[in-house]
Amino acid sequence: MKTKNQKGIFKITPGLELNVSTVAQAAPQLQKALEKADGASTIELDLSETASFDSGTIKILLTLAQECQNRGLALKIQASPEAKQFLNVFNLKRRMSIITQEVSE
Amino acid sequence: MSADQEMLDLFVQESSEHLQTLETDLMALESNPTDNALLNSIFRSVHSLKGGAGFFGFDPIVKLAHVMESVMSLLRDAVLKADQPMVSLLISTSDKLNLMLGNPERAIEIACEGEIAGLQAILDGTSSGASSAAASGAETPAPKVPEKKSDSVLDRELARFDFHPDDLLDGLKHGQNFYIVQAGLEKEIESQAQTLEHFVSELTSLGTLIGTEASLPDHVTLSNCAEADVSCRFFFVTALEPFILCGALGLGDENIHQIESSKLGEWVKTAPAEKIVPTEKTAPVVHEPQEIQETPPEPVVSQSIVPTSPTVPAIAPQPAAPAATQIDPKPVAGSRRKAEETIRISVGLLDSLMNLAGEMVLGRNRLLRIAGRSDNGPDNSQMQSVVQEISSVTSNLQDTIMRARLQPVGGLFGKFTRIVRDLSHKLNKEIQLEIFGDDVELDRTLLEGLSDPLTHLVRNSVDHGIEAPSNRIAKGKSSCGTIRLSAAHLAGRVQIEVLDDGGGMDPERLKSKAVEKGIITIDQASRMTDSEALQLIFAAGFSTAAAVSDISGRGVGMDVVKTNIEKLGGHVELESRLGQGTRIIIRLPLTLAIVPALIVGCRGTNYALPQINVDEIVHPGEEYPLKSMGGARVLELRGQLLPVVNLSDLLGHPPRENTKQENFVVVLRLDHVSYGLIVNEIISNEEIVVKPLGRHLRSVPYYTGATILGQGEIAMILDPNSMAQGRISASQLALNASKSSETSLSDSTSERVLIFQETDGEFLAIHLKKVMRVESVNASDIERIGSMDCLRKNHDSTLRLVQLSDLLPIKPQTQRAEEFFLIVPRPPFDGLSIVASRIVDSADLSEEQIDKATFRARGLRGSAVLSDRLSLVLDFDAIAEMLQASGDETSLFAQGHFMLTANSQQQSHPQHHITQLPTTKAAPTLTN
Repeated sequence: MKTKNQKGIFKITPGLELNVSTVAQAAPQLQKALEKADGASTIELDLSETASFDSGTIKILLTLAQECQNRGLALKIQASPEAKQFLNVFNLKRRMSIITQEVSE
Repeated sequence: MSADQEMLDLFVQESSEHLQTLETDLMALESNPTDNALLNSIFRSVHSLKGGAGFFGFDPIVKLAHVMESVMSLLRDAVLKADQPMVSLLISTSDKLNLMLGNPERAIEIACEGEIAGLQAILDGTSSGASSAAASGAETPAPKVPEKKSDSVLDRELARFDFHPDDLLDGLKHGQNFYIVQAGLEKEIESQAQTLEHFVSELTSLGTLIGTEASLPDHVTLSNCAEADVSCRFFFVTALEPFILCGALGLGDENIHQIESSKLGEWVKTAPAEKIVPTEKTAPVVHEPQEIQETPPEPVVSQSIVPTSPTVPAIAPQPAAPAATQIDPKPVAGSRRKAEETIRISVGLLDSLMNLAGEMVLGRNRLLRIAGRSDNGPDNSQMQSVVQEISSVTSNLQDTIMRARLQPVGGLFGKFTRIVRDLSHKLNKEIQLEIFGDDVELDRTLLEGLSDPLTHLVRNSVDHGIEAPSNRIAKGKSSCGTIRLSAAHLAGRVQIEVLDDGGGMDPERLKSKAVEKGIITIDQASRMTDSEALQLIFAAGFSTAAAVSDISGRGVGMDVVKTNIEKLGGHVELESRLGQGTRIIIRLPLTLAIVPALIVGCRGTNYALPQINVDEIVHPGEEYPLKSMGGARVLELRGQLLPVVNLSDLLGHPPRENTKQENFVVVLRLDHVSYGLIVNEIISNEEIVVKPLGRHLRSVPYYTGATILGQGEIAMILDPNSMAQGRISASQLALNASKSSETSLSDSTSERVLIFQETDGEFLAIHLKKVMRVESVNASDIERIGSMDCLRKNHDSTLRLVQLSDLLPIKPQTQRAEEFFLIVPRPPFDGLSIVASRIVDSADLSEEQIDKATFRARGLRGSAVLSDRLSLVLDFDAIAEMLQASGDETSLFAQGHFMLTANSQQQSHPQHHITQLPTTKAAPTLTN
């Protein structure tokens, strides 16, 4: 998992998989990453490289959204078209902003 | 047919089904007024009917259904409790809807003001004086309703989803069903080896996904989310019924909650701007989903103002608040039902398929005959093999299509609940109707034909059978009488019984009435037994009713009942005990399309006689002489005189010089009447396909149809009933009235036995009640599997040959004749057949005649002198047990149970392939 803090945006890139099989490892890493996001106003989770989505992905995103809300942070998801479609089906756009590489939504 | 007409037909068909369910449920509601499942079912039926009618713009139906639905809503919400007058009003409303549905476009002509006023009065009487009706534009004055709760459960539920109220309009317009499907993503979807993507794809293929909401319990954070499951709600609209949806999604009833369309319709109409949820914005996280909960049963009147015309009214704010809304908290079905893969097909198409299958059977019969010719050359085995395969497939096809035509008798029985209820109220009687075996299936043609006779019988039981409560109490009975309507499979046929515990019939009174009406003479009456006297009620114009009512008593019923049942190939029997009750038994074939028949010849033409009516075949001569008595011809058969009819005379053939060619008398049995039919030849036994007669031949008497025989020729099917009519007079009837049969109510203990020989040794006797039929077979037809001889039958089944000399101490058979007989027992032993080299005779045998001391062996009841010969009397039940005990794994039966083999292709099956089923669930291996 890669993190990058730039101009108030703390960007987290979980990599290829963020699903049921990786949620147990990814969640603590995200927790730690958030703790390093001092000074940032926005958390951006980059799912543009993530290939598979399932209930594990939704779990991570819901808890991350709650964590961001608790910390007063905005949550944006950088999404590939596939990721965007998945997030839309489960109406996660209600809880986070979904952006594509070209256009912020 | 246009698409619109097809849709209309479908609506009428579906609505009729809803109304049928409605009536059954309303009947049950009377005794279970608080049964939520019933209330929900009734509400759904009315609602579905209203929705469909609204789509087609049948406003009078919508109007009536709407007000009924409103009352049902009150009942369902426990604001009201159904009582007998209310149920009567609802039933009356259901009747009016039924009438309207008969011609929906002229529904306005059906007067239903009384029903609407009655239902409206119920609504007005229960409203709790709040604001006036909200729907000023509704066709029916809406009930007064209390103020709407500001934060209803429905509002809260719908607030979970992002959608525009317009998204609901299409589903509301088409009367579709709205659901919230709730499932744990990991536990209930992914654990079923199903990806979320696939599940959503499945969902969207079944309907329209309006909104989704995923949530986690409150306590879940990043640190512990791995163990938690995401709960997801899908707000979904589809035409599918709940149980189908459950099956299609692989979810349980508890996962699927239906939202009433009427309430959604109301919600849409009053949806304020803020209900239109903006999308694509950050919104607060919603945690811990609130369970969908039932609104407490407070006295709230739910309005149902679902759009009722094809054009959905525009969403406009209403001056009055809508009723409180609620989501049905209960699982949508009482028990989890699997989605059935069924389609509707027209009866016409099914009839065509049956017809084609019949043609195939005829072709198969001809093919079998051709393949069996001796002039086919030395190597005929390949052709025989192919023909057998085709024969087997044809039989399977025919059976399958025949099964497709079967329908449960429950549909027919259901209507009697209403009839008994209405009549008992009218006659001030207390009657309980018990229904058994409503899942027994019968060919739809038979069901249709059975409806009127059965209605007559049930009405008779109510009117004449069950006594008034005071009379019953005086007799020491319960004030409430019972009528039991039952159906069961018995010996390859369906037996239907109407049993009542009423007053029964008085044979002496029947006789005196019959004498009074000139049906019988005093002399005949004096010679009649009680059971024979009971049969008098089947005489035309016979009635003992003191007064003619609009229910029964005109004396035009029971003879018509009997005639109609016989037209269906069935029999009616009657038992009655004075003061105890009456039992009427109807026996029917499973189908009329293909029947076993005896083919007889008369003046060079072949005719078919239904086997069901054939008792025996007699060669008249010295032993069985044909005589003339008072101008009528009779056959002296074992000391009794049997009226006979000459088929040739009957059909109007010119008299022949050589009358000695009257070779055979076929003894035909109708209900308690037997007569002989003189024919020239006995041709064969065949399963024939019954073809209806053309219009031009329908008026010709004596024929019920036609068939094509194995040789390819057409044969007319003779009607034993119509041949007897007018020819078998009452005096002739009296001649054979004393003849007992297995179904006779006679007190005589004498029973008929069939005498035969396995070899040229002992004479053996088997009770005819154990025998289904006797077949003549060629030794070349017998196939040997291991140590077992078998005869393969058409219907993919096998008869196992049993040689009694293997089981009993009788002269063993050394070599079988080229041609011999098989005695096939009745079910459940009809997988067996007893080998006989000669059929000797039949005779009456009483228990006292049996000498149980001289010849004693298992399988024998003893010996008796029959027709001047010493015969060993078989104990067939013991023989069956011996065969079973022999441990032969191919045994087809067990006492009281069937053992069904997986297939009967002359393969022996290991024991673990044999399934034991209760007799009632099993079909006989052979049907006759």
